Amino acid sequence: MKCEDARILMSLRFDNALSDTEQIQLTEHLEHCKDCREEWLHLEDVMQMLSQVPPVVLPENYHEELMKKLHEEQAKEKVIPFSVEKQHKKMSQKHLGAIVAAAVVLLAVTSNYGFDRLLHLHDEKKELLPSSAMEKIAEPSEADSFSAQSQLPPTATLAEGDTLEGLTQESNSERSTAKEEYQAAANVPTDSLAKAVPSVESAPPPATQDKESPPTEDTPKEKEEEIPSTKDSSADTADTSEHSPLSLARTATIMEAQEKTTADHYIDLSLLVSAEDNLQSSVNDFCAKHQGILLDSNIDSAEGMITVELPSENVSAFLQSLSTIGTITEQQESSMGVENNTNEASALPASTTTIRIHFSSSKP
Amino acid sequence: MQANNQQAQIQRAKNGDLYAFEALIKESESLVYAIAYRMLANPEDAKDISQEVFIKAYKNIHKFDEKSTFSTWIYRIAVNTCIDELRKRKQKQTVSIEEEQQTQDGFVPKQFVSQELSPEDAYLILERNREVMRAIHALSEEHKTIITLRDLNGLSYTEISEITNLSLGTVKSRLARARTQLKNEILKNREQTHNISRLTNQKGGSTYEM
Repeated sequence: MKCEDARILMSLRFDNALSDTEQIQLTEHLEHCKDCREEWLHLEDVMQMLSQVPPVVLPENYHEELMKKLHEEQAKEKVIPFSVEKQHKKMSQKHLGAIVAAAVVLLAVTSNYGFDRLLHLHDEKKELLPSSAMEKIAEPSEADSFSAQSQLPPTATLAEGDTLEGLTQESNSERSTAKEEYQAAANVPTDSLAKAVPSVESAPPPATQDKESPPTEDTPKEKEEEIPSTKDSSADTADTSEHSPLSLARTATIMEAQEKTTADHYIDLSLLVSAEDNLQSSVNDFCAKHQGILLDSNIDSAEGMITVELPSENVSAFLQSLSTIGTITEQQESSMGVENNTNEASALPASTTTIRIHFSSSKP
Repeated sequence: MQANNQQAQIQRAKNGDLYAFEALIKESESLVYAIAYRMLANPEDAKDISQEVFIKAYKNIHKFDEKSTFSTWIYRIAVNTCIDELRKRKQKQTVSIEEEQQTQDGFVPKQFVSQELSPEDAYLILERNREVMRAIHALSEEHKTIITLRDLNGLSYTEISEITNLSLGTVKSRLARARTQLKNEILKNREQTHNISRLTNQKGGSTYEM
């Protein structure tokens, strides 16, 4: 045996990881090799030193400090609207009824106002898709491939051939996409539907939902799980659309509808309080009173932020309650990170509003 | 934690539930801190960096593919974060300062010096701890990692292989090399100490200064 091999066996020997044969081989080698015998003695000494090194003891309050940092981190993430949506995902399951209703409203809207309106909506959503729907769940690289998909060239959906007269190239694709979805809703899947998935609008699929409502509850979950996976996301999506273009189309629709209804409205306000002591319990009381949910609370002595979500119609009452414990010095409203909400979005029932209370105490 | 329960916790944590995340990390806090403490050789950095590990994990939990256990994933982040930190330091050349702190710090918590030991023995152990920690500090990041995981924290070859993404064979051979390297470092230091004391004696007193 070479000394090199004997050194590895020695190391294994300290961990009691030698087979009987190896043990015999090592013993034999040591009998004949003076260098290795010397090495063995030194190593034995080192191993003894190592074994006497005491275990590390976790400092006091380590866990508490860590959790404080994590809460801060969570609050930081919430400042960016799409992360707040992430927080809402679970809640949005509850609002499935509202989502379907919203989609139906959209359907009504689009049929009343014609395709112009649909196109307008669509353009807006195209812009929103990469920034809101994708970033919040996908890694950057996945987001890239995904948003690329959402902007598939119009030609991909043109194959069906349609009434093209009087429409621009771009609106052609929208028109045919919409038509294909109607076909899909009537259970006539087409190849181009799969390709058109990312541009699916909220309008047509509700028809499908009405027909087969049970699966709709599962599909968003499916979608959520698929996206963060470490696999190549484009391949992933291709797979899904192959086996079930319909469910994916539905999923995309529901995802969009969810975003519209659950996290569309934010109010940021600065609240000056005389003492922060009772702030949290007061906010808790107000939540109970106005059907709100306390999403997060990050109070660091004289300042911090509390995030609550509540039904939009209760907002003004909630703000009134808040003003009993402090002064609202600043108030800003926003929607999905875009200020000055568009008409289209307000056509949907804005079911909930998220209020972020940035408070500071006037008492030092 | 039961497997099903843990899987549910992971899903909840992936949806942003901090309390589920808290339940998941609780059992790995000690080891993550211990890894950081031994690799960075100072308690303040160990606390900062190990907590950074958990924050990183929280922010990136959607990337956890569940192919390994959650704790293995956390330990992997811990090891990588510590190695990064050590490399950063190397560039800033703050190593000597840390080494200084390391020796001042002393690596034996009071509670370890058991009452059964005589003061002399306790002192001897303390000195030997310092000696071995100083030598570990001089090792390469890879060797430091494997000694920390195996010899200072008692992880199995398989666990180390999962955390470091090395094959079992590589774990075994690298561990052997790391231990040999550690031994060489200790012998080198002893040699230096010996030379210094010899020089001091030649000067005829304790006036020798480095």
